[in-house]
Amino acid sequence: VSEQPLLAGALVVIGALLVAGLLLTFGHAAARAVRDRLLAPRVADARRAIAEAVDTGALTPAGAGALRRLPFGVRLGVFADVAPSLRGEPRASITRAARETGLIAGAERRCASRSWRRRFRAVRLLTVLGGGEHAVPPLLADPTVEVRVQAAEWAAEHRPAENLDALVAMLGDAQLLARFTVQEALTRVGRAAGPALQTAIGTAQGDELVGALRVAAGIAEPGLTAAAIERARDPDARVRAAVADLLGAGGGEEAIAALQQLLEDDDARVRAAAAHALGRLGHWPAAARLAEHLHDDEWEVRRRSALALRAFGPVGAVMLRRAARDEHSSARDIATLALELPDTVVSS
Amino acid sequence: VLVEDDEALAGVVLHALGTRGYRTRVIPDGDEAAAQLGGARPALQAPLVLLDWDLPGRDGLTVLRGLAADGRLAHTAVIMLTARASEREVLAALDLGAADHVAKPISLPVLMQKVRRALAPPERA
Repeated sequence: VSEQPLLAGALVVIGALLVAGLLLTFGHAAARAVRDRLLAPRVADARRAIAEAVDTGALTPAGAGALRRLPFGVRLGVFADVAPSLRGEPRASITRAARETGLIAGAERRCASRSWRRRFRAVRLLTVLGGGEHAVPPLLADPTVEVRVQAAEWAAEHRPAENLDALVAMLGDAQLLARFTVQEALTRVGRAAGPALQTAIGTAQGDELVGALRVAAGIAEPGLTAAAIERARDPDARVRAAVADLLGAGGGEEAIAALQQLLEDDDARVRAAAAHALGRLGHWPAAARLAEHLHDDEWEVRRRSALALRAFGPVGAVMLRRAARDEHSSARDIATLALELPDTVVSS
Repeated sequence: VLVEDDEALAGVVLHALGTRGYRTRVIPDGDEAAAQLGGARPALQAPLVLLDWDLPGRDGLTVLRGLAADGRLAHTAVIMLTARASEREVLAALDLGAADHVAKPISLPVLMQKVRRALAPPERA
């Protein structure tokens, strides 16, 4: 009986908390709606001012005034909405308008904000419009991954040469999102990233090394092959597999010799990558060794070897037809499968 | 007619068209565009439609296919605005009867030039 008042009290407290939560949520939404409604005419004026600037190449004094009257965050949103959809001279006009109305200087100041969302929005705007030469590079080491990633996008877009070493170092970032974004950004930078990648391939370890090898394979810079061969005996199997991918993108006698060694690696991922690379290079003298790998214990190695043989044309087809009558069902099955594949699948 | 769901971009394009003396109308989604522009007797008859590819409701290619099926492309030139469309999709749009396409992010001077050309009276031999 004595537990009943306690239970009732707890229910009252929970109810009160729920009501307070609902009030806060709806109150916030209502306040935003009222603010948006009050700001709507000023936002419309600002958008018109930008449209005029885009069309004529310059802001009118009235347009500049309309933009300055908007709160900074809203002004930032108005520019960020329109800029990515335009290029060429219209984009340059928007950048000039953003500079004239203090937006770029404000975004640069916000790069030092304590709120990561503010830093993120500021870098995103600077990525689209330019600016931030001194404010953004320190954010490549920001504690928040979203900010680091956006800073990497900025660096790849605007100042790759000055920030290449920092970008390459980010290939070893603890967060997958950052590693992936930086790989993509460096691939866009292209051959200019070659020297920084070469240093990383020579000295880095783990994720940074694997990332550097993958980017190098993507940009197919011949000068990186020698550096990659040096890492073909790395204790990390992911590194050896990435080396095989890179060698398959470049080719050359030394690369083929290294790939033939990697084809006998202890790790199945490495053997599969080497088989794929030899197929990509069309190195038909390796056909006999690839045919032996149709008996490999790992399905992926058998599959890659069969596809490589198929890519060799008539020489590989002879090997596959022979394997299709093999006494071992695993070799027989994969050879038959490869022979039945349409050419388009093999070439892709 | 501009069929475009991006309000900011629509504002810029409408302003540019307006200052060049064109009368404009914006439709923000694919279903409404098909309803207004399609059919045997369309509610809205326009000499030119700037048709975005990625739209809420029906996508731009489906809208274009409907206009082609209704025979509207004999009276209306369509310029597709494409952001992520593949080469094959752009070719499909041109095969269906689109007059041209402009890739996003767009160059406003290029778009205005294509609008001017699409609306120019045909040259006589």
